[in-house]
Amino acid sequence: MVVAVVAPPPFALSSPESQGDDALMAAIAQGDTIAFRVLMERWWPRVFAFLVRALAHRSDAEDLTQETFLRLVRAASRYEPEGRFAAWLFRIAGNLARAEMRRRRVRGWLTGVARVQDDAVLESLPAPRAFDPDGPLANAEIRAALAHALARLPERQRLAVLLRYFEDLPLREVAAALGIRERAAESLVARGTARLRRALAAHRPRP
Amino acid sequence: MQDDSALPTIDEVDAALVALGRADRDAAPTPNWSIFVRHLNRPTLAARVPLALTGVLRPMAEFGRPAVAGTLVATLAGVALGTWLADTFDRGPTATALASTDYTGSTLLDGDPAGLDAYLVDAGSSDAAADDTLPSGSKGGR
Repeated sequence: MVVAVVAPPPFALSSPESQGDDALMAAIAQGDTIAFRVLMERWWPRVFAFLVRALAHRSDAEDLTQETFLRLVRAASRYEPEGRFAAWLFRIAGNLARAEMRRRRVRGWLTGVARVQDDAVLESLPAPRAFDPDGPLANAEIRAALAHALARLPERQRLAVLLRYFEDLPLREVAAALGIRERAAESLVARGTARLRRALAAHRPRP
Repeated sequence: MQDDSALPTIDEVDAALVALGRADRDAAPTPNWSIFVRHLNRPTLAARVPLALTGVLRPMAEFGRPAVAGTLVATLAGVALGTWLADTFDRGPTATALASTDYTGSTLLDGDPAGLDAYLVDAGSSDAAADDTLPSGSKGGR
């Protein structure tokens, strides 16, 4: 009698869509373009959403999202699979956002142009139909107030709030993405949220 | 100071941020895949240039990093400043004083072309030569 030993299917046979981020990164490091495409489709909208609110500028966010993924490819061979892909990816995106903010500050000093431009903030918002008519942002005024308040938060507070609430990252990962201690991340999120609460107070529906 | 009851709760702010985040994600543009394909298919640096040159170019690329470039500039500026200061102090102020009268005793070294060696040999011993340089009253020590 012959006993057939069935080996587990090799890694490559499982569909890339079902693979975790770490496995996809390992495949990207080997030059697998399909794995890269799957990972990009999975994370592109999240990175874009993070950057568009961090910079309050749609086309800048688009450029930097692209740059984030190009850097991801370049750094794939150095990625250590520790199950913290989100923190790693948002660290790249956050560093790019901070570099852009620095450039804006220098441009602001040289040209006298305000760092936050109200028009750009409003233009960066999605079309009204993107919002749930029964949701908390059904009112255009509240949407604008929130976007302006976010754009005016200090740089690190803004990034921490976005990572915590937009991306729903735990504080440990927020801290890893910003390269700070967890306590510092918690403090940044708390201070940022407090500022947002004050900024939105005027728009709160009266009971 | 604002009354806390007038402020939206943290949950309300959280819900607003989540709603904005979802709308931003839905409105994200589709990625331009062709840019990435071009980048992914581009031959690596090692494939494009000879290995020896790659070995030089890679470390040179480190100087493009702001921290490394800044350190290099500061070091060069420090060395340049140090060199300039050392040169200035080494030269010192220009001497303009002139002796008003010739002092014959100065021929100890200047007047004898053979210099100090010849003088010491002539004196017989270095001690005697040293004694000769002392004022006449102080010869012989105590």
